[in-house]
Amino acid sequence: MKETRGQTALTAPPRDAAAAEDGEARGMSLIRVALPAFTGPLDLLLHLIQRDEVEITDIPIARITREYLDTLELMRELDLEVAGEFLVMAATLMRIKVRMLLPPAIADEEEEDPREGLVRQLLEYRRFKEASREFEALETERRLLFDRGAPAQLEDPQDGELQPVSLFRLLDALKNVLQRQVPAIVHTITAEPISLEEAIAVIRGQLERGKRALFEEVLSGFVSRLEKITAFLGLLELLKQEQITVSQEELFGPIWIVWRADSARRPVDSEEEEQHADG
Amino acid sequence: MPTDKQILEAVLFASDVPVTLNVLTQVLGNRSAEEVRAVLTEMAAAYESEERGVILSEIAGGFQILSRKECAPWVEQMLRSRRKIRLSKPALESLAIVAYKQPITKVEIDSIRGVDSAGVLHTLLERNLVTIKGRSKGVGRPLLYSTTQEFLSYMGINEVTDLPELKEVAPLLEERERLSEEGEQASPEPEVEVSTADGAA
Repeated sequence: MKETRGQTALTAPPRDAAAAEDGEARGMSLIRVALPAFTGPLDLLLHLIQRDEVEITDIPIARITREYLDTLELMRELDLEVAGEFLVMAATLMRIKVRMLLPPAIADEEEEDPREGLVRQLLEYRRFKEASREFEALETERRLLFDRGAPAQLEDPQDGELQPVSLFRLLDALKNVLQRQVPAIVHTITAEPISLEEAIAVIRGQLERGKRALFEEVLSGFVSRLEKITAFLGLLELLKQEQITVSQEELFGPIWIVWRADSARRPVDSEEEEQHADG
Repeated sequence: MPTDKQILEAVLFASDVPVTLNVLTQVLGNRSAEEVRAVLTEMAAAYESEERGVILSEIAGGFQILSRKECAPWVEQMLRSRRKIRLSKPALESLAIVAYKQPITKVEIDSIRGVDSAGVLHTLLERNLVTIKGRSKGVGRPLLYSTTQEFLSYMGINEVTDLPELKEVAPLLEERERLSEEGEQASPEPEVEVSTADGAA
């Protein structure tokens, strides 16, 4: 396990907490040691054999069986799910134990050591378990090298990951905005009803400047109820055209409208436009 | 007229996957594969020695420009949560078994691990680290799994033979037989049946 520690030092960040914990548990008292999740019954057996420093090819079957059953009991007490395979192995261990107890006269003469099959299986499993540790080391090493083309995540409103927003949440947000609408003190002028295209143009302008805006911010630019609804339809249209995305940090949190049309295609387009303009 | 080095650098820069020597040679057109490799080796050495944030790596059967590992913490900061999560221990175990014994059936994997591997295999398939190579001729014609190009890239190796060598079981068992022979004269017979799923290879 030396590698694991080395990796931890290199990678430092929280990702390796699990590995560190694992390593920590190794050096601790019996009960704590039993806690790391075992990938299967062979993993658990191997762990017990290594912990007790007994020879894998000469397993003290009574003792290991007892410890194995104790661990299953502990897992159950901790409400860990004990997969069926663990129980099958328990049965296998007990069968081997019984056969070891039989006097040789009763047992078949030709019979091999009752542990033989299990030992083979353990040795075989151990090869791959060891290999998987080397794989983990390779994985860790490789994760320090980055490919090109990973999308950067630079200007999130806050940390935390954004979640997709459902249409109903969007409607709720619209309702909120409409409810908060103070009855305007209307003086005179009949506002020219804004068209969908105009609303889209306004939103586009707003988003192109800021790249990202709050849903409420966007709608606040539209005065009357009718205009707000038109703007909302405009947002839906932009969403359909995949020019914007909507997301939020948490349920009922503020909804962000993000301008995405410029992410991939835009630079090329605008360049072309410039060329046309020049020519 | 740009130099070979410049062209190769441009091509490698523009690709986000490893580019094979074959493709690079075709792109250059007027150089042999050996010559291209020589230029690449020279470039890799230069990247290494100069003050660069990237390296030129031979990986997954091709060449790729990758960020320098010392710069990882900073790059990571930019990419934040977009990174793929690491493989779990069961996934690593299963992946190791597939890698060394490919092509291999699920039953054989289960038998080595002593536990059902369906979920884990699904994850590995989904992440394109493992693929279905075909069907075994055995009973029920079970699916055969093997590793992918993506696996090589994920592990940062060039080909499967670059994997660390798998320890052999046989010497350990011989050791045991030797010990038991020394211990008691009535030793178990030297030839024992293999009860694990080693028969595939």
